[in-house]
Amino acid sequence: MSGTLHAPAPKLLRILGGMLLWLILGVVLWRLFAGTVAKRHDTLLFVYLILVAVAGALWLSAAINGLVLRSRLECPVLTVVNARPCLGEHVRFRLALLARRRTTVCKVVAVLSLSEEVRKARRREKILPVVVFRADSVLAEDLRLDKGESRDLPGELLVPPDAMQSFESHLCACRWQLEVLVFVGRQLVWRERETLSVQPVRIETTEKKPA
Amino acid sequence: MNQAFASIELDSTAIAAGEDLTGRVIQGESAPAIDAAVTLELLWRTSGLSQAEEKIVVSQTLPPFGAQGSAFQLKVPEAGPISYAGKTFSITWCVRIVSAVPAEKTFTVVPALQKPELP
Repeated sequence: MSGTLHAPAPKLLRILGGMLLWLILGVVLWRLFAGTVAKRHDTLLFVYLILVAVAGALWLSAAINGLVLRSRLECPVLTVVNARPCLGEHVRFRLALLARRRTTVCKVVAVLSLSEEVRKARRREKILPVVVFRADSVLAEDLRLDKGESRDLPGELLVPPDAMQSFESHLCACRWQLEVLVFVGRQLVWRERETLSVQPVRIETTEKKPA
Repeated sequence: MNQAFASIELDSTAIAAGEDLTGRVIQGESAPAIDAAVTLELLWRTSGLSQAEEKIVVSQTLPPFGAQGSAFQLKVPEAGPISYAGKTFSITWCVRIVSAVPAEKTFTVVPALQKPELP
């Protein structure tokens, strides 16, 4: 099972949306002050426009910085070895990182979580997600990668024996999820998720290994 | 027939997923003999913040029985779900007699014990 690309499209949309928002805000302020107040207070118009420009520039630089940091790594590939673990078993997984440029990965964290979701009624799709269990594990810290260098980070997290299995009915659900967060600098640049199917009964091994 | 006076006795109130639930349907002390078939249902239901849901997993018809009662054996699915008491909802298992005045008995489904891998 391989990880899927979650972030690029939403991130690009967020940036384009943000730029559009700043553009609209700038035009609105321009029309507002140029049409009325600015006739008497030209200085005020420029102060406001400069403030908008500075705020916009800060936001844009932060967004670009995030994209730059993100672009230093290829999309990480999360592979779950046993995506159908039994209660009380470890979920084993590994994350493959590949550096596009020389970079230092600040931290890689794996988070295993169980959340309850409830819809109040079939027709009212109101969902109340509540995280009832969460465990994490640091897979790597201050990981230096040269250009083109790859790293395979194995990890495992325990599914508690007294927890709930994966469950879904029409209105209620218990979902297990494994999430791996990759930080470059202080910024979260990649987030990979896999849904697990936790079973109440272990599937018995029937095949014997050769002697 | 007066099924309302029947009750359920379970051999164990904690069953592992995938195992059999065994017990007896017995007649009440002063009730007349049950002279018709009785339907027994194994089910789980949810309760909590959402509307209650119910799913009948197994249904079994027991032949007419007298004062000695009738034994039953119903398999709890391996896939569960196990009994659960969460923050927003809970899952309860029960076995019930279908009648005008139904009788039911709740029990707990727990995860199966792990067996070691074969060498």
